[in-house]
Amino acid sequence: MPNIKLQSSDNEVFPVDIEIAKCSVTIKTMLEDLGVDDEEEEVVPLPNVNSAILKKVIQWATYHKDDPPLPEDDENKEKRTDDISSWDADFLKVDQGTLFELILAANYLDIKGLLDVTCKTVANMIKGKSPEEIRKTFNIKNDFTAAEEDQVRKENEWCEEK
Amino acid sequence: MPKKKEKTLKKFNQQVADFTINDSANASKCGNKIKKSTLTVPAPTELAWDQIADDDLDIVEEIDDDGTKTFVYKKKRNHSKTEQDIENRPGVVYPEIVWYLIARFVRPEDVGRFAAINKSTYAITKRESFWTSLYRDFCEGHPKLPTRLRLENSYKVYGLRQRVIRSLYHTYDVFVKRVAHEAAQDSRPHSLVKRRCVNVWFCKGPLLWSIFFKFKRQYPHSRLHSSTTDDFVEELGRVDANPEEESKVLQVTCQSFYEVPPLMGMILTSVSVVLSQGFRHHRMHLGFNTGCHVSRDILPECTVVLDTVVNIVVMDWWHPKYPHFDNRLPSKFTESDESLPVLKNDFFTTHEEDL
Repeated sequence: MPNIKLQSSDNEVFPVDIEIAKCSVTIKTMLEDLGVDDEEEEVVPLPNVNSAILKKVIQWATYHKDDPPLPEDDENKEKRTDDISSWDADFLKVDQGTLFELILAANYLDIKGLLDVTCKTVANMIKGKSPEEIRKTFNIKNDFTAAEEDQVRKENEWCEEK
Repeated sequence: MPKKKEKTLKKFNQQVADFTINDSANASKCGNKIKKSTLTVPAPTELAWDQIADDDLDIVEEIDDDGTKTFVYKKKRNHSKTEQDIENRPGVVYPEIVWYLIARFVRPEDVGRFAAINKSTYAITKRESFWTSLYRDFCEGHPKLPTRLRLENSYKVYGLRQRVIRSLYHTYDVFVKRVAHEAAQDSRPHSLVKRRCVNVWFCKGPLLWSIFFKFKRQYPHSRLHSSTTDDFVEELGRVDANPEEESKVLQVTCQSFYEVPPLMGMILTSVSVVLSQGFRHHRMHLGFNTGCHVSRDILPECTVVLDTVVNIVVMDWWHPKYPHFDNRLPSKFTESDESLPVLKNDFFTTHEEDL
């Protein structure tokens, strides 16, 4: 199988099956634009993804390599968040930092499947939690003053259950 | 007063000066231990009374030694968190794009908690794309969505947020069930106390009369980064414009017509609902005053008694039956200074069927 070498931001090189690498629209376009031959073992630099995250991305892409292509976003279709496969759910049992870095990597590499599943996971983790609990779960800095926080809560009374 | 301050300072200096090794290492107990409160950095400067937002104040009844009662304003809480506090808070600041990507999957009932995470998430909930996306996902083409709320019919950025939220209360199951559940519970008319009555109107159905009282919060909340622009084009682009934000409507349905005196501008100070004679209906007493003091000792200047009450509903602006008029630009942007219509046909046609 023809391989391609993906180089992370910390200069680690990962040999990957070219078809798996093409899960990423960014890499696919890059290879097409550069006219890289399947026979050549090119090194593709990915300056926005570190080795730990790239390893996870490759692991995800390898598992999903035979998945049928995802349909384009149906604008009229309600976006579900409860359709995460058990493999994906296990795969995404990572610390909050990794989860957010995976979102960034999936966005940069343009891997729709991975992007959707990581965002859905975070959206599911937000459900039913107070803003303080959400911040604690994901180690997010609270940049509101007490008055601002109070104001945001009042503005959003419409979605609170009485 | 100044004497007391000097004394405190002297005591503090004495405590620091007299501190010996014996005080700490060899002492059986730390008798001269300086209180933590004495050593802390000075508290952030207190705001002057006229700088404090009205909503941060509570009117409290105080009884003096001689038995005289006075009403005093008291601060509800201490806003001591300063900009510096925020800088030093722990936690990570994620790039805004992450929140933007996650926002696509936020369910309508989670919008509030999403907005309250940090300033980036809050800013996303102010974007046009956020609300059009919610509308597309949960409202568009829904058979129960009233024509007047359909964005396909008339798309306006001004007040888009309000329109989508109202649409969600017609189409999104979670909210529809919530309204049905609330209707089965006590309508809590007491929550309207301290609000200012801004409008009263009647509506006659085939069998029953409905009296509507519109109340506004006395001291409107200032919005975060609210636009106080005089620029017409900028105002037109306000996604979060909502003239009804601070309003609630009380609908009292009765068997008979009851005349209501002029109440506009008065504050609702008391509400009571008791069984009416014959125990078949309720009797509602609404007490109004020109001042906002709420006390059992102050008799209402104006009392409205509604008998044979069949139903009481308190509606927030997002309630599907809230009597909305089209979102209008503030009067400073309109040529004539006509106010919102008190009566409008489409409203009555919408509500008559419910009576």
